[in-house]
Amino acid sequence: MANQSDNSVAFSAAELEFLAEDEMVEIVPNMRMEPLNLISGDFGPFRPQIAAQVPLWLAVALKKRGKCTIRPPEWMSVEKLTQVLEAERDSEKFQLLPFHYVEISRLLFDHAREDIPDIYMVRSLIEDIKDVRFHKIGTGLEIISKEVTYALRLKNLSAMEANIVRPFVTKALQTFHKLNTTEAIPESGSIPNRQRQAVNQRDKRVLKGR
Amino acid sequence: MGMNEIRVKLKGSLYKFHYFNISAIFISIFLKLYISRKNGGLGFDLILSSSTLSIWRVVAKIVVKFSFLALKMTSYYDIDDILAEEEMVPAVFLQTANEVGIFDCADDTNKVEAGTHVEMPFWLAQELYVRQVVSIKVPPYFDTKAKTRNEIGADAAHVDLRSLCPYFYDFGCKIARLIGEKTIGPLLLVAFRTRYREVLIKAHTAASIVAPKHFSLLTKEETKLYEAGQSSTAAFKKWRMGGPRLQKASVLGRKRKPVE
Repeated sequence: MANQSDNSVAFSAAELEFLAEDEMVEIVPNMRMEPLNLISGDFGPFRPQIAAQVPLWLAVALKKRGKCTIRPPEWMSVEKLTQVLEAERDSEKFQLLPFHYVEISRLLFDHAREDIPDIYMVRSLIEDIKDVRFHKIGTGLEIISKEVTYALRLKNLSAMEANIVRPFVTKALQTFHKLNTTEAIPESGSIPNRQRQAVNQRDKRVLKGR
Repeated sequence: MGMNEIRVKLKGSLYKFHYFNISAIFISIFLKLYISRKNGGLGFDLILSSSTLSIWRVVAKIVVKFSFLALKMTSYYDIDDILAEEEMVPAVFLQTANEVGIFDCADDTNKVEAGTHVEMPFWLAQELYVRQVVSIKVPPYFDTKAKTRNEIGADAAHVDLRSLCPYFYDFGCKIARLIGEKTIGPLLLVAFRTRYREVLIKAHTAASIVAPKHFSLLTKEETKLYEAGQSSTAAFKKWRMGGPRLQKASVLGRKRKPVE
C-alpha cells in the first residue's frame, strides 16, 4: 500500500493477486498428510492420488515443494475458453468468467505450467479474451460522454478489469457530475445552439426531482 | 476584520460543529414526532404539533445545506481548488476604495476610484463581489462573442485550453455559479464531452509517450484524468510482465565492509 500513488481507492495488482489466492482449486497430492486446520477452514486430509480442495495459495505452496499437481479449473480448458471468446466477440455483454480470472490464470501459468494441458493455447486464448473485454470497456466508457449519467453498470466485470478503470472512471464521473450541476443553473435566456438546449431540458428535470 | 478572518479560516470546523448540532436536534425532533405518531398521536409537544410540513421543509433545507457544506469542506484543503481561484478576472469597482492603490497606482493617493477596470484574482473578486464592491465580468475566453466559444463548438479536442486557463472547468464552474452566468455551464459540458473521449482513448492505449503534443493541450483536470488511467494501465502491465515477485530490501544485498 505504501508505494501506491494518490489513487488510494484502487487496489494494486499485487493486492488483487493476494485476494485471488483465496479462491479454491483442486489438487492431487502425492504425499500423505493430516488435515490442516486453518482459520479459513479445514483442508485435507491429503492422500496420494486423491483429489482435495484447497485455496490457491496453499496449492501454490505445495506445488513449489513438489508435493502435488494442480488441476486447472474447469473454465481453463481450450474448449471452454474458445466458447467464451466467441461469445465475447459476438455479444455486447461481458461473458461470465471467474471474478479473479486474470489473477488465477497468471498464478497458474507461473507456478503450474506443466499441469495445464495446451498451455500455449490456453494462455493466448485468455490474452485474447482479456483484450476483447478491454476493448469493450473502452467503447462502453465512451457512453458516459454521450448522455447524462451518474453511474455505470458493468455486469460480469472481473476484479482486475474493474480495478484498472476505477481511478479513471470515478474521476470522469465526478467531473461530469460537477459540470452537469453547474449547467443546471436555471435558464432564462434562450441559447441559439440546439444541442445545448436539449441538454438543458434534461437538467431541469433533474432539478425538479430534488 | 480580525474576527472575520478567523471565521473564514476556521470555516470548515466551525460549520461542522454548528450543523452537526442542528441536524442532530432535528433528527431527534423527527424521531419524537414519528414515535408519538405511532402511539396514536397523543404525545405531541406544543411546538411540534404546529405544523409537520414546516418541519419537513426545515429538515429538507438543513439536509441540502449540510450536503452543500460537506462539498465545500472537502475542497477546503484541496490545492487544486485553491490554485483555480488564483485565476485573474476582470472587475470594475463600483465604489471608491481607499488603501488599495496596488490595483491602479497611477499616483500616490493610494485609492481606486469607482468605475475603474482592474484585474484581480478570483478569490478576492469573489469576496468583493459578495459585498457589492465590484462587478465581475467573465474572462474573455468565456465571453459569449469570443472566438474560443466557436473553436470549442467546432472541435473542442484541439483547443489549447491549458494556455487559456489551466483550471478551465473548475474555474468555469466557480465563476458561473458566482455571477449566475448561464452560458458557461453548457460550454464546459460540451467541451469536456468531446475532450473526454480523446483522453479516454489516449489514457488506455499502450504507448505511454503517445502524444506529447496532445498532452500539452490538456487542462489540469484532464491531465489528472489522463494520468489516473495511464498509471493504472501501466501498473497492470508491469504486474503482468512479472518481474521480481519478492523484492529484496536494499540493506540485505550490501556486503559488510571489512574491518580495518
